[in-house]
Amino acid sequence: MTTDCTAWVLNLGDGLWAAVGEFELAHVIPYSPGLFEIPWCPLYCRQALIWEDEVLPVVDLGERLLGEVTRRGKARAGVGAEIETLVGIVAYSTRPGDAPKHGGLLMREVPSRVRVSDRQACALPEHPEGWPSLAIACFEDARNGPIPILDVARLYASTPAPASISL
Amino acid sequence: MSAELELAEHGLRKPAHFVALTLDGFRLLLPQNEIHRLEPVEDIEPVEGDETHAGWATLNEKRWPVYCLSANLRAMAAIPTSRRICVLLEHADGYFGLACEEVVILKGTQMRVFPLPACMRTPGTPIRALAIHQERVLSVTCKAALAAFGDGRTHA
Repeated sequence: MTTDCTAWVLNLGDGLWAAVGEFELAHVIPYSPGLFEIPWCPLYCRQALIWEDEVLPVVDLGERLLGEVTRRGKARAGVGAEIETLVGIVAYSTRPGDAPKHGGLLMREVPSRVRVSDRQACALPEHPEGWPSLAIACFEDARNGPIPILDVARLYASTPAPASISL
Repeated sequence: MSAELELAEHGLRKPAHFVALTLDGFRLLLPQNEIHRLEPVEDIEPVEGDETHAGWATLNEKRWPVYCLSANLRAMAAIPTSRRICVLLEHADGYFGLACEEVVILKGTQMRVFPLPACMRTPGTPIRALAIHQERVLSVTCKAALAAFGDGRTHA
């Protein structure tokens, strides 16, 4: 017997895809919102936005996973400013019964909703190598290959490991 | 948990007033009651040689370091002419200063303050919280965080 569930597949840009659970995606801001730079934060999380009268951290997983490689490639190709970025608002909770907390996640397009069966379970992609610290599982998608399922609470509620920080 | 309770957990309490320090256009909030006094930058003695701060302030017949931070909070070796005022803060070992373009008082009641999210914290950051003020997100620091930051001696 197999179990099915619903997930959102997110295009993170730079050829990266990830998924979150059906109820972990709370909202999508369908335009580039006002993002505010916060100094001395990790490069992949140096912006914040205002959503429903709260300040949310905004994570760029492309920067976290590909970092310098992507920046160099974009600089060579003159890519960057013209790309429209959406922000997904994801919800997580760190303790059972607590009200959900939220974070922003940069995305390239509106997420697609998919049904996932446990028969689709597969290994995390070997590249980029940072996935094991960010994902709790992975499934094979017919169109996009392996899609890591994000550990949303870990991404937002834990302090970055020193090795993952570039300022 | 409310933002205020979370702030308290991090040893922070929203003051009645903040001052907004402008550093190359970047606005950094500091509790007003943590400011000892203001000095015109003309009274700050520039440093000579390879110091980690940009100037000296004289107070109680002693010299105290004055730091000059860029918009991304990197220490600058000299104070540019755009910096017109220096805030002096008292801490355990004496005083230190921060050269700013502008100092503006803001009411604490005009803003909501949140602890810095865990995923934004780095070992060296002087930012302790984020605040919403007039539809903008501002960074909040405190004198203890700035003193520790100055001890880190981080140059551009």
